[in-house]
Amino acid sequence: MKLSKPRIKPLDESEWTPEQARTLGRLKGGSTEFGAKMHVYNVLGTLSRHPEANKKFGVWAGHIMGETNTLPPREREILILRIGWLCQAEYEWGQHVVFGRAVGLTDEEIARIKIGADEPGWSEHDAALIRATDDLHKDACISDAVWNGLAKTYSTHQLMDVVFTVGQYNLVSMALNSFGVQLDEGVKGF
Amino acid sequence: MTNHFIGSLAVLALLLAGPTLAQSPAGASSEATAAVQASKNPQGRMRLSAPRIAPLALDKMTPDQAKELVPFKDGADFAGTKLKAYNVMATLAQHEEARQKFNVWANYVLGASSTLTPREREILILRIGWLCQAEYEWAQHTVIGRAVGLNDDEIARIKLGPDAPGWDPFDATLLRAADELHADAFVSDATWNALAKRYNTQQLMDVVFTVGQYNLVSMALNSFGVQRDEGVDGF
Repeated sequence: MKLSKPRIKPLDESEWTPEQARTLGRLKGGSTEFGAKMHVYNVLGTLSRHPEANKKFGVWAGHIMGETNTLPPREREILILRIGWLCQAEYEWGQHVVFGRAVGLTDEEIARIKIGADEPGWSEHDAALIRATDDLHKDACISDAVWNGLAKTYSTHQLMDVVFTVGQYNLVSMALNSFGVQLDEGVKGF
Repeated sequence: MTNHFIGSLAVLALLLAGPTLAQSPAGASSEATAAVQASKNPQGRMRLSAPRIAPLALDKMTPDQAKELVPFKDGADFAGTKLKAYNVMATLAQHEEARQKFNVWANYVLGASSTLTPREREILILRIGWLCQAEYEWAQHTVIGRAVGLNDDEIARIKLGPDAPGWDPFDATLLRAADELHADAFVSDATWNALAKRYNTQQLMDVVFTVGQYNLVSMALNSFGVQRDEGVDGF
């Protein structure tokens, strides 16, 4: 972790507004009754310090992680894990290892995302996804070779969603690192 | 009325706020400008000289898209140009479901609900746009930045960075925050603590959100090859 404790602490349950009690409680899938032992993701508890921003951010974040994103979930998670690794956002890495496994990434592939696109074992398309992330991280622009590689199989919507996904999780990494969001209980880091 | 429509109107209101806004820098200094000329991206200006993803043509837009994106459908004259849909908006319209959700967040960052003052927000946006060499972003936000109080000398000095002589210390701290987020995805303790002397929690969060959002926008503008709108100066 870049910080060993938060600069901005997650909202404590005792600080929730009634609306937050409903929405945050529901996100954990548990009871929303006060007094129940609930644990909300630290990232959501932290963003809840700024409810107006959080509400609107959530709409866009919902595109990236939801049904309107045209990328297959496994490919989306390759992009997210790679940008999280490049940004050294350990919270993002920890959570998305869980999501990545759930959508088909193997432990061996997850470990290989840290090493990069040139490591043997990737399909040409998976390697192009990692290279696109590296290009965006380094230069805020996908090179012609990588763009053309992706365009062999991707539609315009998918090409756009590659950039949106990496850009969004670069933003998320900046926030997690700078706010000092700590790993959730039971989630492993790098 | 939708949020994104209101947001588009807000930007247009800024653009239309006065005839001076669209003019070239008059009597801009100076040493800052000269130094910037020397440090220009050697590759040239726009990353791509033609779009990889073309803006959606007017005749391909749905009536709702046209109404929202082309407020000057009849070719109203603005600063000597025929203003149509902004290229960035017409490009994003190629992925309409993404655009609608994106705009909710984009209009938070650029709208009245951001807790940053517009001038400080524009310092952050111009700096990250420069660091990412996103000429479209630089060009549009030069216009917006002037409208909210940045002078031409300050805009030129944003390219030089926080150590250029002439900055108010807090403005320099904002530039440092953008530089650190760009280099390391992290605001250092020294910079964070300096911001926190004046900013509350929500403003500190909005600094990170603003830089992160315009880093994303830079990636999209550069990679999609969004070309500058007519009549807008680049770097």
